[in-house]
Amino acid sequence: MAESINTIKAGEDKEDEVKDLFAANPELPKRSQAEMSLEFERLRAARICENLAGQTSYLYTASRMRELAALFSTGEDTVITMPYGVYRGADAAERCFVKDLGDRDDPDHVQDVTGRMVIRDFCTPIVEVAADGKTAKCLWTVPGLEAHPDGAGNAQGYWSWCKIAMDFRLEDGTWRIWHYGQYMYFASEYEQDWSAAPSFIFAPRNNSSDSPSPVQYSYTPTAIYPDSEPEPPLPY
Amino acid sequence: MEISEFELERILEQKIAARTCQNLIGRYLNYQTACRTEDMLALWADDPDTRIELPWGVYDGKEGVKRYLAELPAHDSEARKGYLRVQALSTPVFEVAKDCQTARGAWFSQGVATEEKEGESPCRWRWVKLGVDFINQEGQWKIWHMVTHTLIDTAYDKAWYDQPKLTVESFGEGHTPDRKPTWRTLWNMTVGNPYPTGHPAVPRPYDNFDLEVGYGY
Amino acid sequence: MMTYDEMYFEARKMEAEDQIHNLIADYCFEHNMALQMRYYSHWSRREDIRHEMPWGNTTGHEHLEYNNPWADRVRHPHDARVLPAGSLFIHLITTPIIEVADDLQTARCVFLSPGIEASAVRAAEGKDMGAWAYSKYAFELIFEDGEWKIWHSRIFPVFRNDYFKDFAKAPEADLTATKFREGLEDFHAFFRYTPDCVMPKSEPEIPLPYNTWEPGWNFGVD
Repeated sequence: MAESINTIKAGEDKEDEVKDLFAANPELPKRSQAEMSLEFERLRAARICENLAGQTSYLYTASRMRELAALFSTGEDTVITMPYGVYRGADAAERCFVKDLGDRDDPDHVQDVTGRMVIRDFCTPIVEVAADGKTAKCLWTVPGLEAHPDGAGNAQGYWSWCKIAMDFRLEDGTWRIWHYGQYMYFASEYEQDWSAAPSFIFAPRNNSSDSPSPVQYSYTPTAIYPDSEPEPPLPY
Repeated sequence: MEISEFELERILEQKIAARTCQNLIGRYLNYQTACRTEDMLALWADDPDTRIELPWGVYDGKEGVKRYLAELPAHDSEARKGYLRVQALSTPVFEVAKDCQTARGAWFSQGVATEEKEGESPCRWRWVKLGVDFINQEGQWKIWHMVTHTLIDTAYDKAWYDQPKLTVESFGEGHTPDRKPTWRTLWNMTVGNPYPTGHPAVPRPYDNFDLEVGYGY
Repeated sequence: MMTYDEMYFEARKMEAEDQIHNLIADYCFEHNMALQMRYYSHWSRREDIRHEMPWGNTTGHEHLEYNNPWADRVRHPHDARVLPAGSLFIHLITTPIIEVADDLQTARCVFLSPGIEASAVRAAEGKDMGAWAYSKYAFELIFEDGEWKIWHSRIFPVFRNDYFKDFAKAPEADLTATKFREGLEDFHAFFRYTPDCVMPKSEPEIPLPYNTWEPGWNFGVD
């Protein structure tokens, strides 16, 4: 059985043995209580942000869009960048997810929700919490898939690989999604590879985005993959 | 508190190290997609035991890693048109040594590779397992050892059970490693060929890394 | 500023989260290397363990081994040698949400799981040879004798389609018709994609922070 903090009984920790391991190595920084506290808060924040990112995936797949929108900040500086458009402002999430994509319980969106399967696997997490512990910058590689009905009783499956970048902000003790951006690698019909045709970009029937998406990469046989779409986060 | 402040801070260091290393390998793979080879090289340790192992062989030292990276399409070259490689890491098993000087992780990676190949779809599924050791050099975590084990490498229009036999020769075209791969054979999904264990060895908790001893498990 | 006791609690919770993530990922590695029999060492010794697979469920240990399609062929500890060679099983775990109870005695986690199942043996026989196999996992774990153990496990299938058939068009096989049914109990009706479906609301239900375990999260509800 592996020994760990949760198996050591009071008074039995092997501090001397562990200190021997450190004898030949640099010492611990010997942080003050305040410094240690901030570091633990930053680590916990990273885990909360990862869980929130996971929630966006499960909720989106289930078309639980009201709950998804509730994870976002309602600040005026909220920005959501989808491949089909950019939403800004306090109601960005409400418009993007509830008004446009449609919640499963909304009678006005039965047509949008029916037959829509979108699964996004959040992989390769980069989660950087700011030194002051108040914001976070994150990026995931997201291999995924989509299926959409064609209106004639059939459906089409797509491989849909993208990156999702999220910034988070601590607001009144709760972490909220502040900026959200989806950047494509490719999206192709199942029966053909991603070099055969331009990427399929899904856009909702109702698109209340505020501006077109900025020029973004998606695979073509002549496209060069950009350096910073988006830039992977660094410590800050 | 049932442990000493020393032990608490040591555990804090382990958790910070784990987050730092996982962010580091994430950046590395994002840079790889963009062929940002200078940024990739900067994440490697300058250590005599640094090495990267691909299916076709091993490159030793940071200079060896540099030579491997030079085999990728140059960042500003025309060869990057239509070139897309993505490796998405998941299924992590990760351990930081008790002495907080080394760490190791094993991942699965679903991936794609897109490059022109005569007679085949340019689009490929490339799923691998990745084993990475990290080392703490004066407070900076760096990649130290890396090994890639191929699971599937198939053109899009072929299923995995139809992929041509994976061989060092088929992978090695155009590459000049320092030496052969350290495992005996690339696994292929053929009748009578059990899947090898230990590719890579899954990390277990460990105290410290000594080149003479290895990881002790 | 956190007190030392609060930081100690955080350290313990993070250690639990990491051990749990490692445990489930380790199982994926074992499965890939045809070491499924090691799976059983990850389970709690409690008699109320629950294993819910697409083809049926088991409670307790008596039939747990039978809820494994390779049960009749991988009884030996060195099962990598016994399993028909040339099988490829890759089941990843992505998109983790892991919540450890505040009492540090139980935990809940969910994952998405893209995967591949292929068999050179079956290919040689001209049978079902290779499929994408997508599912989702929910686990409840319990801290037992100083280790985290699986207590309840459920797989939610998404699709399993032959490589050459679009998952949006291929009907999923009815896995309840499979032969490995010794001791299997009730099973859940499972999701299948159709153009007129609505994705399930709670497959799985997402874990949220919680103080101490109570029943009703993903298990015992339908």
